[in-house]
Amino acid sequence: MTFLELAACCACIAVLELDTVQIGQFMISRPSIAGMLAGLFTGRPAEGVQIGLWTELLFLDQIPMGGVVPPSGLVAASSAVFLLDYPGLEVPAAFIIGVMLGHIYSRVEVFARGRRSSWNRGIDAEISGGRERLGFWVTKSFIAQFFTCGFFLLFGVVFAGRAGKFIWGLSSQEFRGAAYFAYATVPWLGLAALVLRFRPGGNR
Amino acid sequence: MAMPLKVKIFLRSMLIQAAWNFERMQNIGFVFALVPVLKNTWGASRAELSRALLRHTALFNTQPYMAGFILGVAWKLEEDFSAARSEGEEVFTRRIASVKQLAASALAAIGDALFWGALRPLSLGICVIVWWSCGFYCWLIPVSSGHCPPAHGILSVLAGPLAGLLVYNFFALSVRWKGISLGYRCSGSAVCGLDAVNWQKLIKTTRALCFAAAVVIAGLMFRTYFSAHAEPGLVPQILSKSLMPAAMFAAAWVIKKLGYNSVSAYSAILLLSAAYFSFFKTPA
Repeated sequence: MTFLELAACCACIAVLELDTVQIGQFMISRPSIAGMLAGLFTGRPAEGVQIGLWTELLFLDQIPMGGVVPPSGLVAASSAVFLLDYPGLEVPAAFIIGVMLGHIYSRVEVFARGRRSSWNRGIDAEISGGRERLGFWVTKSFIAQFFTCGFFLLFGVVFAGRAGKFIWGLSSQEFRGAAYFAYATVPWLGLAALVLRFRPGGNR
Repeated sequence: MAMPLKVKIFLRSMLIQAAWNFERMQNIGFVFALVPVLKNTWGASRAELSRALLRHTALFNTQPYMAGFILGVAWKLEEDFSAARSEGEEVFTRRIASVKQLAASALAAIGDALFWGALRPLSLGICVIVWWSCGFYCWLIPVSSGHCPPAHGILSVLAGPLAGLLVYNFFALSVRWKGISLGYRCSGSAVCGLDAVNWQKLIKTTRALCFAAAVVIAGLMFRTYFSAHAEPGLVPQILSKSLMPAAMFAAAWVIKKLGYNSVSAYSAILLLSAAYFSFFKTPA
């Protein structure tokens, strides 16, 4: 995958990311779908589905209630799939970096939401002055979110991927074995959390 | 209730979380969704329209699919106030803010339990079951080489998510659409929507379906996991292969009891297994 192809893929995922909060919440931005799409882009649909689904199972107990910003499963899944091709990491390493990027992106999202708080003053002033431009502010929010996610994904994959490839190359056989083992436990962990959560009489 | 206005509000309600910010949360998306109604009600006077818009730029937050109820309530309240002017504008502003706040809190609790807590995992379960039914299940097996046998065509890949999305969005869009008219008919009640549906029964039923889906997926995973890499000796094979799933269920139970999430569990397993493999020099 070339840098331009990666940039185009990141742009598509950034459009999808708007569904997470800003537009619709139709669930097309969930990690299982993002991973599947990223896999289709990179010619690895099954790996994409696996990473996306397992990411979703891992993040399922972190719910966006109130002002809580959970880690981004979409960023985690899509970046992990892209890392399989650019720069070509092994699946467990790509998954670890993807989960880390998903957590870091949630901090970026917190920063973005904080920045948007300052828009309220401008909107109030415009409305008080008889000018309603809410469509402008909403569109501005979409564009800002698109570029934030797109650039984060692109540079996250490029730099974290290079760092990850370097560290993976230096790591011992034992650590790699541990990474494979931990990756293999993910679906069972996620499934167990699901069964425990919904068992009759279990925690809500 | 004018249908063209309802359609506009419905479409704009999809952007209820646009420009979400920590100071006033969904305020920008809420007032954006209400603009057609406010222009229709107060459009004759620029000053009154501005004051009406400012009423709705205050703090607001609820579960996004349940916001339709509150949009309908706000629509009716604004129309009634414009027609009757039975109270001062300041009193009305405080009343509408109070009604919105109360309704938002109550509906948020219901929406979070129903949509985030039950329907979202259920739609994932449906996706997985449809995938397995279409013969697309190789991804259940951990890949050691980074490659997985190719999928059985693009349709089998898309079928799962489409099924999950259809079920989820049927409920989400129905609640969004019906919520607006139910909210409008509430005539400004703060408990609007709470008795519109038997929410408790709906949440309980959905959670039961989630449990059923989780059990089915567990069965599919066990079946696929056991049939892959078949070894001679059924009993030893069952025992050795049951070890990891059983250990993970135990780990998930412990993690849940301690109040941690699945990502913490994964990180702990990674670190502990790295330490174990390094100490005992276990080959990869």
